[in-house]
Amino acid sequence: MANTQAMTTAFKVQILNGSHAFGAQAANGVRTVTTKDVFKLALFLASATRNATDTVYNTTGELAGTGNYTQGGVTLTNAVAPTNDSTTAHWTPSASAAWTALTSSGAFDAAVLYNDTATAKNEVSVHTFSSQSITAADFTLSMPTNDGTTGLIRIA
Amino acid sequence: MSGQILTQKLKRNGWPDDEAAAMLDESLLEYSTGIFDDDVENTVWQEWRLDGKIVKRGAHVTLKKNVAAEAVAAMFS
Repeated sequence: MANTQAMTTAFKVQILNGSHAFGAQAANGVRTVTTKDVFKLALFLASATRNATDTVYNTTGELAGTGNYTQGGVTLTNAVAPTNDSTTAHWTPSASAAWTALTSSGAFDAAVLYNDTATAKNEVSVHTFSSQSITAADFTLSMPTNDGTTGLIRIA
Repeated sequence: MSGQILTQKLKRNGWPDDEAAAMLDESLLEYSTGIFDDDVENTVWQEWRLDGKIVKRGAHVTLKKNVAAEAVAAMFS
């Protein structure tokens, strides 16, 4: 079993259905989105299997709710609306995700991004990194540069 | 107090937990740090060991390049 970095297929369908609001926008003649959704990031054990086939966030394979980790993860700061560089649209949280004085319940190598406003907690993507075990210390996940080449979520 | 004796004393008192670990004399600990860097991430980790056992380890992962979806507009034929 392993985690695989991916944008979930379900999310791609939900984009076409207008199911997610990463930014607010004025009335556009079709619908008005005045309130952004809340997105969260949760940490998953290296033994988990999170990938593009996921549909919703759940606690299967997530770090246990011990050692200053709360299942469900942390709320992401979202101060910059989606935009585009040339033909690539992109969105990236505007601040790092951080866990303070964490003792992880095991080695973890993935973070799952999901829409916490959505009733079903629709999963957006899986982001992998080198396996980490944290003991009584901080863990910080800093975001990539928000552009069309490296942004956290990109549609080219 | 040797590191081994200190470990035994701490274990009798319920170590490891955050409070006991915070009281360790840092000079007893072996400190190391490292960097992992590739196309996906830049990670800096720090760890402190007592008698070879990790008592504190933190990390800072900076993501570099992430997931992208290719949008395709089909052509009428």
